[in-house]
Amino acid sequence: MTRPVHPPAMLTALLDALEAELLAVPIEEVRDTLRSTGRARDAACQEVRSLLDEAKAATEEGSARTRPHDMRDEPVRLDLGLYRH
Amino acid sequence: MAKDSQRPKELIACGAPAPQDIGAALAALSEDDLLRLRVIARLRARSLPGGISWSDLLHEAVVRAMAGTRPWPPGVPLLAFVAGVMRSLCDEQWRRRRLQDTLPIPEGVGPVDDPERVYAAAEALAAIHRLFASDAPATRVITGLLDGMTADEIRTRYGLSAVEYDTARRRIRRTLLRHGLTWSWP
Repeated sequence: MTRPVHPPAMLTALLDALEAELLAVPIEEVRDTLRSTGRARDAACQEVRSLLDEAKAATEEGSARTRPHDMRDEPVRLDLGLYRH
Repeated sequence: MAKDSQRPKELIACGAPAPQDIGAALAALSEDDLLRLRVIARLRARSLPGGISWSDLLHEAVVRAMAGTRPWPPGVPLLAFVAGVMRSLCDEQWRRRRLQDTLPIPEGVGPVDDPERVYAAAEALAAIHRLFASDAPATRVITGLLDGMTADEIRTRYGLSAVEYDTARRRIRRTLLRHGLTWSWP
């Protein structure tokens, strides 16, 4: 049987499968691999925690401001279209 | 960490308690949850155009979730929800990229047929196959996953035992994690 080759759909199928595994895989596996890359677990966690805090602050700031996102004085993040949709 | 033990874990495990509690649920994420979130963001960001980083992607997903533009459905675990927002943001980014470039989209062609996206995906798939070129069972499993097959279908199609299949899946995960979920395309 010849199946249609559609790279984006195929990649999406693979990424979805990997994502489902990463949500369920024993966390020891993630930690072990992180160690093998030389990445400090605490630093990796702190990086995400800071990012979440930054997102929270951005949300609070966004709801308080009347100007649209892309008119901020100094954008700290790449514009992914926030509040345009 | 002592702080982790004081966090309301039920907020994480049991899905959405109430929309306004998403900030509290995010603050309650354990270090393990943060690690999972990080690797999933990295995974998704690899398929994005224009050098958008995993942190940009995760940041945007969290902002949208907290702003309520992407409501947290009841019963959906928080990590799965944020992962889903990142997934849809990826599609959105490709659409936006197309619009920003003002490139023509032939009539009747969907967003996944964007030539640049097709090219980027093909490059990614080639790089992933190269990573497992010397691992036949892993290659079979990846081929099955790319076709959207279930575990049972892959095992049946390629004659893999449950142990062989699980072992191959673990090698795939570890290899991709070890490579930082990057597979060396520009």
